Amino acid sequence: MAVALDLADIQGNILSAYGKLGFPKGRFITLHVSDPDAGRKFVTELLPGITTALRWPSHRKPAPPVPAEVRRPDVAVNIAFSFYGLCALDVPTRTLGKMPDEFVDGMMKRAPMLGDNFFPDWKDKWDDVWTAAKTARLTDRETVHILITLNAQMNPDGNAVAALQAKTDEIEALCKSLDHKVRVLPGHTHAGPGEEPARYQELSAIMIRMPDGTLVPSPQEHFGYTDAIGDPVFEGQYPLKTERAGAKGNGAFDGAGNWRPLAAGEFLLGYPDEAQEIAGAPMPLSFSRNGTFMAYRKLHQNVHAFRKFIDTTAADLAKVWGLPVADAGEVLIAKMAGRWSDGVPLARAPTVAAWKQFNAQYPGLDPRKDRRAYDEREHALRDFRYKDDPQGLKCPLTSHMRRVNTRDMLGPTPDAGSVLNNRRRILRRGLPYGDSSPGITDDKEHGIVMMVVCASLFRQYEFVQQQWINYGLDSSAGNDTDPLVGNHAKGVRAPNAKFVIASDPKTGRPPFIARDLPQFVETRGGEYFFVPSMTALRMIGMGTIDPT
Amino acid sequence: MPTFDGGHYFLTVLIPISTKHVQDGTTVTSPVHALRKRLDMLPTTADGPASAGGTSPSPFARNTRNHFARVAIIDDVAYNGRTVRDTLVSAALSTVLTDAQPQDHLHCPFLLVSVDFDAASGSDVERDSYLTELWNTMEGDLRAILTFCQGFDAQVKDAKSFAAYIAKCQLETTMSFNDYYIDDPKLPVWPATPFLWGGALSAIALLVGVAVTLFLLIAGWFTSSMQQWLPAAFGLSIVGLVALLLVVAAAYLSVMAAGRKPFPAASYATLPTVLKALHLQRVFTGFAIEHQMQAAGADAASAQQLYDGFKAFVAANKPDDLQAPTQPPGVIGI
Repeated sequence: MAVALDLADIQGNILSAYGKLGFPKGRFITLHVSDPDAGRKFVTELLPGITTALRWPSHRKPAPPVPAEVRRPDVAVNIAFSFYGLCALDVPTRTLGKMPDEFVDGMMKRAPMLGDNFFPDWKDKWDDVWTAAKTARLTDRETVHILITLNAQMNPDGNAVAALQAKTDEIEALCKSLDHKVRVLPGHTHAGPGEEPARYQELSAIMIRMPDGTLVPSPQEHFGYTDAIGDPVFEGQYPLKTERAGAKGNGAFDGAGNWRPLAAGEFLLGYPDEAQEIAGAPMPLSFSRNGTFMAYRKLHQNVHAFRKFIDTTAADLAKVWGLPVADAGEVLIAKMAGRWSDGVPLARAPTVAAWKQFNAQYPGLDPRKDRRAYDEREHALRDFRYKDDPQGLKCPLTSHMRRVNTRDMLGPTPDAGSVLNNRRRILRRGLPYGDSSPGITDDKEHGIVMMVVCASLFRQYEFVQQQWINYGLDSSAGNDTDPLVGNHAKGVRAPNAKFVIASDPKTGRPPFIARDLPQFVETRGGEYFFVPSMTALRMIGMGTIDPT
Repeated sequence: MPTFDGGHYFLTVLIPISTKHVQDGTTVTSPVHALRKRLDMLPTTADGPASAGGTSPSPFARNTRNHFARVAIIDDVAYNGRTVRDTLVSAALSTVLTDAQPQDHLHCPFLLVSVDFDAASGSDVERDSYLTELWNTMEGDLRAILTFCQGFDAQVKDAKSFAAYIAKCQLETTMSFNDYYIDDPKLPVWPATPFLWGGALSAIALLVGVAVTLFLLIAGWFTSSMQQWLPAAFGLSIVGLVALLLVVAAAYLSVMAAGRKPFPAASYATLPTVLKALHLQRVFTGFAIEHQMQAAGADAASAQQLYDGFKAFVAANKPDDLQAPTQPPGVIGI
């Protein structure tokens, strides 16, 4: 019997990446609760407006009418709590006591282990909101307790729909009505003297201006890569048919050539996971079930440094591998990520010629015009393995994508698939922020807010970050870190790093060692959050969590 | 997997810790408490890039035979709870489940020392020579720790008596681990053929003997003259059976004897060669980065520069010289 998820009980941001569903605008709000009663009222008031995972009716295929139907919102609203937020809301000690260590610690305390301590002054670079609490977090009035994420649809002029501001005003008014015993914590930049702290974290997909002057959201992030292609697919996440197709390349590989969706327990508490057990969770189970954990990470992208590095290094690569300089730039970008800038995987198209051929074979038209061609490309972008490339001649073992999702590798025999990977998958949600127009400098605000969702931050997210991104053992790369998002400022070649790109001996060209990789991505703040189910939110609001 | 394996001696020692209270500074405390504090104060391996060029503060890094040294305190053996028995059996034996079963405990805490070091053989001479070297390089550190162990102050005066003291506390190492094989070690093949032949022949003798004996017993009812062959056939069965048992026993003993033989030492598995390899690996990476553009150049000048560069690299790093330049022991440089 397949897992049937109670979609109405699960928050919508767990199962879906809103950015891809037509919500290219975002505003994230951080709050502090100084009185448990006010906090509970706040949660209860907000509850009816929280977006669940219920599927919205398709506007393409009219469905038979049902007794109650959920409407597609203009703004998707979701809520999450830090450990000290749950304390502030008087969640029982027995429930709090079973919360995982890393969640209690919070992200800043884990920074050295996560490799977020790029520079000696890393804490000073964080946004004020995450560093404002200077005393014990349990009592400090600046501790972040609640995160509200608003994801909004967009008008053709590129601005968020009016509902985004309306929802913001509603939250601000609610705080006011509670005598600011629940209050917004501003500081989503590192404000200099005299500068106004940013009240909210504003987010937006990067926009492309069409010939008719309208703006459409692009799936790219600031470095120019097409993002959010390889998210894991798990049981119950999609209708059965979609789930089977989606699992190809994004699920678990069984060693016999088949892919299946990952176990729901890897991403939601209260379900069997890839270890074939229901992992322990805070009691009562009705509080934990259908909830999960999330790492909120604001990642600044040094786009100027990245572009400069690519230009300099591509010239060297062109000489060593005998490529035209323009191609060398694209090759370098692709080798670092594991995908070409448009998302085509190196595993399927290892050369510039193969890349062009892939794009000719899978043109990937507008889904509204040709759904089949669109789906074919989407599947082709995901469905691949590393079986025939154990040495990383096509896709480097140390490329970003191959590090964070080892697919069919790491098993006892090549191509076997491995629980080592299946137990370390993470869902990625988030949107870019800021401007990265040509000529911009890296002291400006631009990057991505990434939200990592998984059932165990320790086992899944932190392992990937520590062992696969900031260490190279499983990629046979010694201490080399991830060329894109790894910590480049520590190690024997500090403050820069190196990245070795294997070369197919058939080409007669030597491997290329990209040198002096500066820090491309810097953490600018974040926290670990618990994303409760709708049941748990109701229990928090009513103060009826009975852990016995 | 014995105490000596693959060119390394795996020393396992359990030293009883004294149980008489001691004066430690201004407080009177238990020896195990004072000892644990000394262990916490022992400097460990230096790691991180900052220490890559420096020396290690760990006293174990002062000799060049140590691969790994681990020291731990065993306070007591763990109690795993009642030995569970089938409920019906317990009831039949009138077992009172609230009566505690006997529990095992140690009469004193023990200091566990586990070291693997380079050695030419598993002989006691090799062990004692290592312990002498250890005493000569870290006598003060060893005294500060072992003074809390039973009999140490009375028995140990010098390197020789230290080696004798440790030898008394040594246990056989039964699970050792080597990770320095670049290629599969060349292992002698167990000579299966003579045992298979011996086994087959004795089994055939046994089967033929039994078959003929049975045939004669049945046929003997009809023709008594055939019975004269019965003792010979029965004898053949016995000979076959005994031979088969002997072959099986010999094979078992031979396998066990082969299992006790240590694996051959891996190439380049001594600490100085490992340290030199780590040094060369790091500096050669730097060389490859600095010279990759020359390696890619097709002109004679690039080739000459590469040649000169490599010559200078070899001259500076002396790949054949294990002493220097090399990575200092006890330092993990990432």
